[in-house]
Amino acid sequence: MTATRAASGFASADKFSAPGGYQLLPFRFLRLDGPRYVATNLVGEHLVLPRDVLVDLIEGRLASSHPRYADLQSRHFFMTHQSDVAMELLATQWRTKLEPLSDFTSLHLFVVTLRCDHSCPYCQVSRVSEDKRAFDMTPEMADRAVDLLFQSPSPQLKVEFQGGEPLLNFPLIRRVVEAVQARNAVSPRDIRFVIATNLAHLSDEVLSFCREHHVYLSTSLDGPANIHDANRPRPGGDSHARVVSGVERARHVLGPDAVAAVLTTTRRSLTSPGAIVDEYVRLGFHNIFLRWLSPFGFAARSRDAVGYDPAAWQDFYVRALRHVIAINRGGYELREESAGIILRKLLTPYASGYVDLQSPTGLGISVVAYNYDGDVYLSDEGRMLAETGDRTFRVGNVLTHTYEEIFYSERLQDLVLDTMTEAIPQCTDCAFQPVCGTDPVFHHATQGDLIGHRPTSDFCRRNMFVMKHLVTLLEDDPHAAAVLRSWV
Amino acid sequence: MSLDADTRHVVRGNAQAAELRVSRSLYGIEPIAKAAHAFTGRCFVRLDNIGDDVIVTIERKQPHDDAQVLASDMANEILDQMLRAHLKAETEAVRRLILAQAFSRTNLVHPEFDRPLPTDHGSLQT
Repeated sequence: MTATRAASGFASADKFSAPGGYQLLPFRFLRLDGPRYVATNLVGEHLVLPRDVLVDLIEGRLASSHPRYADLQSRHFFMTHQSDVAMELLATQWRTKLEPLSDFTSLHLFVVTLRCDHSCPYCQVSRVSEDKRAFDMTPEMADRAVDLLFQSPSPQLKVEFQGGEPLLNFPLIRRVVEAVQARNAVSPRDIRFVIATNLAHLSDEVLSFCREHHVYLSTSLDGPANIHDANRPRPGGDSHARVVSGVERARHVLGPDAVAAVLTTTRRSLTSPGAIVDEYVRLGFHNIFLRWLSPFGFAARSRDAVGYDPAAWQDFYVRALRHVIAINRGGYELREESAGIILRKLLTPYASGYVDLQSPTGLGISVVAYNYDGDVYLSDEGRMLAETGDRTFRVGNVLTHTYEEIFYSERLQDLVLDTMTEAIPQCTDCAFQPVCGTDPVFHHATQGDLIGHRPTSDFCRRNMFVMKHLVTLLEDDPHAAAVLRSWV
Repeated sequence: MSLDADTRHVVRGNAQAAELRVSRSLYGIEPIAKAAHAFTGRCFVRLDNIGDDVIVTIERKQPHDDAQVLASDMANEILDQMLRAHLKAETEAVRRLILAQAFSRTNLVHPEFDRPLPTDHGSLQT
């Protein structure tokens, strides 16, 4: 074993002990506000410290009698000569965080049609006509995409049907679900199905199929009728009424948790955070995802009509989150999803499957999208961008490319290597590096570069703001902190 | 030298543009360059060498910003970057050991824990 250690080139643990003092362990820090800094250890556990304590700590002057000494030691910011167990714990936690990387790709998006009856101004991809068969995925393409799905090493797979409005091509959804379940019977894996639908075409036949095959529904709800219907015009102007009716019917047939909703925040949302949150409560949802509007595809062209600057969204987010917390304190459980994802990474050693907050990028290794025309994209946003003519994130076609050509391509490997935030300028020193991620599609679309320039990145600005806000609430507001911790 | 010492810098200029003069041997080029990069969202930055000093020339991007305030903020950021450089140097070796431990099949921190048990037929020996 000695030979092994020597061959490894690493000094033994006792070389790092500091008799009578402490040995610093790797950590990052960032100014939180005024004299306060947030510091995170190697795996993201955080503490808020005054600057003078931070300086004393780094310069080796922090006395063992200092009130923050025990906190810093227990969270592995340093170790003493009495115990080096921190190194092993950090190594285990680090390994736990990165473990999902070996089980790539879990989320497979099937864009079964681009047809849609809605004409939302921010929608990236839909085609209004319901008659254009040219925008439907063919059965042959779907079968080939199922072949690719089963070559993924991930023990958990999620098949999500996207559009357009996917229920306009329900026969193909039926074909894919039945094919996947038949093949999965041979060597079973945990496979879940979700249809992302506006619920306008939710028939009894669809509900019956979903019940029989354990298919979940995800819909869009932008708030009360006046906001939702203005965001999502359709013939008859009854999008909101159809969502409400569809949610009730789906819950009746499939169960109370079978349908989830996501929010798209447009300019008209910004003045009504309370009304939007209240609508989610009124309709019995226990989750809300305060999402930022993606500047891709058609949405980019509609930005003047529905878009906003990051500061306006930040104000909306703070007010909406405050209302969500107040509702929780009133006894109704409502989880804000983006906060929940960040808090889970900040407060536990576990990773998140959320593609936008992964290092390296989740593109291709967490998610892949099979477009209606058989083209394979590294993410949903990547295929949305393609609708404006930018096919940067296309990596093949289901009819002409093998699994190896798509998922082991040099292009995808380069993208993974280039998007590790551990090595991206500014990210490498940021206290939120263990929690945050990178979004190559966003940076490509907004800055013309897959990595992006962090000092001018709205992605960085928005995430930095939300993370600082959450840390501040955890630190300064015990009532809010209790609610936030319950979401982990 | 204390890493929390006052900056030995000279700020001169006006609201539109300012100059920050810092000692390269005192602060190090990496902290200066990293701090300059962090401010490239708010101002145009140029670095020049004059003897042992680095001259950081700052030009604001937004009319509501004051270049002299930005220069002072950058001086503070250089101090934070110095702290980071010190911390990185101090923990570089232990970071490598933890990373190696995380992905190693043997125990690099406590190799003695990898000794085979009496009933073990040497499967852990390498």
